[in-house]
Amino acid sequence: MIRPFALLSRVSLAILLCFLVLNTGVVYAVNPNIAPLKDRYRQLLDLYRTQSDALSLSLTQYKNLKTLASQEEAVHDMRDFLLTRDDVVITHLSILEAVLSDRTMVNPLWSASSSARIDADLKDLQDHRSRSDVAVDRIKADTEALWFIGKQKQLSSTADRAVCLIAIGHTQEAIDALQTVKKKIDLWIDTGVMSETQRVEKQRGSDELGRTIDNAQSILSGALIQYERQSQSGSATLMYPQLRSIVFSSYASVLRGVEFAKELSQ
Amino acid sequence: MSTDNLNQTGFSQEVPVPLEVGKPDLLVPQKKSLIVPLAIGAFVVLLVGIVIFVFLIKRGASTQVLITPTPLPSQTPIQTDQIRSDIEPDLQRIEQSNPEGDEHPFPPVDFTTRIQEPAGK
Repeated sequence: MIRPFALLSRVSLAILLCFLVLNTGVVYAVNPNIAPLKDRYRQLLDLYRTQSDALSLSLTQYKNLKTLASQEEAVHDMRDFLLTRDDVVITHLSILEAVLSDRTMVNPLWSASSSARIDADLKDLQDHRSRSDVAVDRIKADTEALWFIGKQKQLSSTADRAVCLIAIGHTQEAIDALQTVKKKIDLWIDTGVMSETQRVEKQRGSDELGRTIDNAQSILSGALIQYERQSQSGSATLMYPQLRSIVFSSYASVLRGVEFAKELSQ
Repeated sequence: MSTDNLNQTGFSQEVPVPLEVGKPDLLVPQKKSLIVPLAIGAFVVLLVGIVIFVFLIKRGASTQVLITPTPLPSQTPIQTDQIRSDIEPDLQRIEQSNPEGDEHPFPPVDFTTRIQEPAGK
């Protein structure tokens, strides 16, 4: 039989462990360090450009000389190029994932789904990087180069999808902020010191601002419906750039609202 | 019932009649057995409460809720300068959150690079 105090200590320990696990998860999920990732991305992109130039030279030499030494040089440069290119794309996707988890998104399920896709691509890229690291002959290096060519469509689609979601989040935040501005203006119109004629005029302006906000929200809602439809269909390769242009038109409407608000507060 | 009748049935007045059958002679004091489980229960509930409270606080702090300034009381007349300075930060934030800025273009990497055997080798 377990003594009461022994039972008590076990229960307490279990609860504390659960607390620590949950707490660690939350802190990690909501506080990604985006700035260091961006710095690393810039550095890697510079390194990639340098290595790309070096590879271009050594490939030309190999093509012209056709010697074993020139081939070894080209394979060496190709390996460096493959590793850095993977690092660049891995860091880019990590930034997108961090931004997705850092922002309050319109639909958390969508950002979770987009993050899951990024995770899958990151794993593929890490595996590819490990294979490229040991690609010390021409055939192996070329096989890994071919793998990357085949992956282009998927990687672009994953990134486009995340960027589209981030744009939707930005625009929804802008619409919400404009709603707040309108409320402040309405309060000012109701209580502010102005003539009755001015009040009527301002009220008309505020109504127009309200219609602009509704229009922006309506366009964005249309984009959200399309996003959901395309996400469910699974064949959403080319639609993300189109969706983003719809989101931009919603944001353009928000900007018109900003101009209205500025005029109203004159 | 008289004592004569008892004597007739063979029972004697002096024989003690057991009050309860099957009870152990030594009884555990009931006070102690109640206090310990209650104390354990209260402690566990307190711990769970603290865990949930801290978790919710963390979660609440993590969600980036836009804190908007409290509207001014409707009785206070708002001046034009005041409304302008009040909405200016919101308008700036809207203009800065331009999704067309495209902070995250896909890396300009070359997907087509290969290392093939030179022709004529």
